[in-house]
Amino acid sequence: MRRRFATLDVFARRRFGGNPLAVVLDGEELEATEMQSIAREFNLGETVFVLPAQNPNHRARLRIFTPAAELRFLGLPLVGTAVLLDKVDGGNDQAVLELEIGPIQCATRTLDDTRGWASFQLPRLAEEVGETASHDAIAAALGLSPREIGFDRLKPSRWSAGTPYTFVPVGGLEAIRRCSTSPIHWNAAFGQDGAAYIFSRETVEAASSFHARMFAPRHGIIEDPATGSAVSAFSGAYACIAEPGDGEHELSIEQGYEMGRPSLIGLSVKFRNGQLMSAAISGEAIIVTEGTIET
Amino acid sequence: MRRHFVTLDVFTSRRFAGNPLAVVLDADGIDGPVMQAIAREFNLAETVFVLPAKTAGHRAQLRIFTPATELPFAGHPTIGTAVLLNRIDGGSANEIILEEGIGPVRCTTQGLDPSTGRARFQLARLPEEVAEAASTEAIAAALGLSIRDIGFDDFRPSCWSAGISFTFVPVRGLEVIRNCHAHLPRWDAAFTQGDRASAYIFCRETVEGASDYHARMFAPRWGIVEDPATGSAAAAFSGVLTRFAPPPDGDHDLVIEQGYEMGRPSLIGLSMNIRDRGLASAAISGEAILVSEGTLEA
Repeated sequence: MRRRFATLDVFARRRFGGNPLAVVLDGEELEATEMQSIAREFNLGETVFVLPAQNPNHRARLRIFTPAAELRFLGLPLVGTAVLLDKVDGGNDQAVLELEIGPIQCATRTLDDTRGWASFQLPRLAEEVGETASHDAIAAALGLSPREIGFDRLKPSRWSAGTPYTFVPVGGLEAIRRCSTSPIHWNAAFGQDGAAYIFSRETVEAASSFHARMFAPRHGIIEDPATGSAVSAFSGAYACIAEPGDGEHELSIEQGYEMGRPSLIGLSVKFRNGQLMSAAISGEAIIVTEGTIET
Repeated sequence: MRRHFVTLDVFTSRRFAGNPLAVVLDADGIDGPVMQAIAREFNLAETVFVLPAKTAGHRAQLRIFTPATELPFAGHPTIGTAVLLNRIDGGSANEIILEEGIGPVRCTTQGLDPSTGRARFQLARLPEEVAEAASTEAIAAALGLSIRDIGFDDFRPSCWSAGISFTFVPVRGLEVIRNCHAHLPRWDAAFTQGDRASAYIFCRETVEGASDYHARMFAPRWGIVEDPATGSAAAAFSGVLTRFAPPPDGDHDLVIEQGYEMGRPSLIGLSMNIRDRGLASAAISGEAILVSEGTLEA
């Protein structure tokens, strides 16, 4: 059977920026093993299969696969698929998409023929998840000197909104550009399966709040151009970084510049009495290819 | 401008096996850096850009990109593109010449059904031994093997190229080959210095009764953890066979299986013509199947 698909660059500042995503629009009657084979064939970070919604008030049900496994939830495929469905529907403003973890409400906006914007509330707030390794260990794993780790009073910390990350503040862009993962020192700093999110306040674009890079070598991700789940977890770290006052704060985090795939992820956080009350992720997506796949 | 593309699985007639390939059909006017960005976007082992031939009588000029770099020649893009162009041209048996970085490559093609075909190309350049292999100790450490696992019959590790260099590593059998993996901290000491390039591990024990050799290919420094089917390595392998297990004079048709450990079984045909105990000519052949098609803005 021929099924329609599109690929999009999600969180991209321009075409061939951000993180590529494949979306198979007619996912009906595919077995999970076939979805896994198709995701492997596309070989992108994630492939989404769009299925009819179980609740008639919802727009669609989504199943998300990496080349290796199915995921219950991930921000990037959600943003990309919401943008694509908004295009398919001719502009919808919002849609409820059913994921394995439950229904998620997305707001969407059309920008032009191939670009759109989407936002969703995090289904789970970030929480701190344990201690980090020493500055020395972290510096060695990233090819930096220990003095370069931390800025202001900030130290590395570990947070998760579903996937744990070690957040490593560094002084500026020059140090962040020099970061490279050392396979020999990685485990001691970040754990065998650990992921490191390095950020600085100095940014390339004047409008960005932070500049970031993400490395997860054990997951086969030498570097990721745009990591929604890390930005979700970053909402927790942000309370320590900025001591934000009560109310809503809009941030934008740039990533992927060192890889030549510039991206921008929006994070909107709401604080009350110093506590994180809610967080939303937003971003743009650009349709890159459209076609059909034989299954 | 919207451009047409097709993806195929190459060295197989079964979808979602073999080695995926993207082919951008009307690539005229796309410059090199944009081709590289598109190849990176597809994120398949190779993306081919089909351009008008420079020489009258040739079918097309091809430029071949991995997600990281441009290649002067590669086997699976040649087979996949020849099968696709044959489909576009109607599917009947014919001979075409494709212009690649290393020069013109002569291909015979034949459609099998509306979505599959077969192609064969004569090596434009016979394999040559390009460097000394690293020590057996270094190679074993880089592949997570013991020294005893390496070598069989007269085969020893050696480095050959028919356009792209590989270190060919003979191992005892299927169990050894299943257990090997690219051990990154030790990789560069064995495979990345000078012309030693990437690792092609092979053994005589095979999964399929009809295959002659079983192989795996690792090229982590090219961003390829493992490749399911490597035509350029099979091409250079004809040099290895001529040197370590010289067949008698005449024509020899071999089948090399690869990609089984990745769940993407592939079969690569290698034909060798031996004259005066030397390799006179060699050809690579295989099937390919169309998987997806669409358009791309570039």
